[in-house]
Amino acid sequence: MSYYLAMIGTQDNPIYELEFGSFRQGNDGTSKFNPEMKELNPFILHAALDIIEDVQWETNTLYLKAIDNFYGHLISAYVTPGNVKFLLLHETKNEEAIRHFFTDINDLYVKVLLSPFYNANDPIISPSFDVKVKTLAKKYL
Amino acid sequence: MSSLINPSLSHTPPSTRGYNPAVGVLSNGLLTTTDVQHAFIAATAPSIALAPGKRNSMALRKTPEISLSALIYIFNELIINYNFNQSSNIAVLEKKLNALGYPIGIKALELHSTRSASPAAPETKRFTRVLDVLQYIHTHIWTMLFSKTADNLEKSQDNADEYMIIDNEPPLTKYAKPPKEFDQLNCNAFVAGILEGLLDAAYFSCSVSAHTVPVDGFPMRTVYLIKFSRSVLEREFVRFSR
Repeated sequence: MSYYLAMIGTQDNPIYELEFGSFRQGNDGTSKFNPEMKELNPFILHAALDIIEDVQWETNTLYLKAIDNFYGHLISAYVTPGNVKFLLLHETKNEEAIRHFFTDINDLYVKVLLSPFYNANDPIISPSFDVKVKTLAKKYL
Repeated sequence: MSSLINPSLSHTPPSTRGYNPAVGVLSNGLLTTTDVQHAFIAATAPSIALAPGKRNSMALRKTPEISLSALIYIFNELIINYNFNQSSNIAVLEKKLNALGYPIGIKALELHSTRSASPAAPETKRFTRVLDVLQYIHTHIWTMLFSKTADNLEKSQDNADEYMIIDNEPPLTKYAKPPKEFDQLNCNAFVAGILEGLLDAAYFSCSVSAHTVPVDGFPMRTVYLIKFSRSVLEREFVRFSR
């Protein structure tokens, strides 16, 4: 089980990416994507942005559930009120866990955003943000 | 033992960790033992809880208020005077004030919606319709910024793309008195910038300007004129007209 997470800013620019594997069933959190898939991941997620821009006006919830799939891989999306998109590429359906994962990342994102030294749409290079996202991944996925 | 021999400067600093946009996912791929240590530090470090009821909440007071006189002092001295000395005319100054407010708007939107989530209803909402987002600014954002709701929300009769939010007594300029030759100046251009940033972030692209329109009893009554771009109205028409 492997996951690829990307946070996309309002200009369709990636501000954070993370590739990780499941921590369940004795796995150690390393992703099992093969090299071809690793290269495709960003493309698959960016292709889903068009679908998000359509779907996001049909509902006013933040979590849009699985909106797209690519040969057995599902793409779940979450849009913050300020239109930063969180996308997760995953292999099995797991709505509730992903919802909690996204909601907690939203909290972390707002904390980053509140820093006076962070401007909206900058890449998030903070190491502590990185570690906290990984901790969440371990907790929920 | 090795940590005793090595002077602390020779250690690789932990700040090299984290996401590097130039490298991509390779820069932050694996969870290492140092990561686990960092996670422990991060988990135990004091942090600000954003919403009341979540973890150890420093934001438990639902309306964290600051003194108006202190705010006005900072606003007048640092923001108005500093930018005033660098601006050739009123239009430039208003533009600068607007630009200062813009990033605050983006952050205010995200912060408010995170704060308003409660443990019972963790999901907040996005805005899909023009009127919804304007109502939200009129009541919730105004309460968050100024501890009161705005006095009125009107739709322009002449232009379909123009809306007005009216504040009879704008707090920021309560004690501001511009010199006579600048009586056209409205320092609430700063607040207009906040609104513009907020609406832009929510994908309602628009331009907002502040105008002083005095009436009896309210000499500083300010009208925020919100002019949406055509794409917003077209979207509204296509999605919601039926």
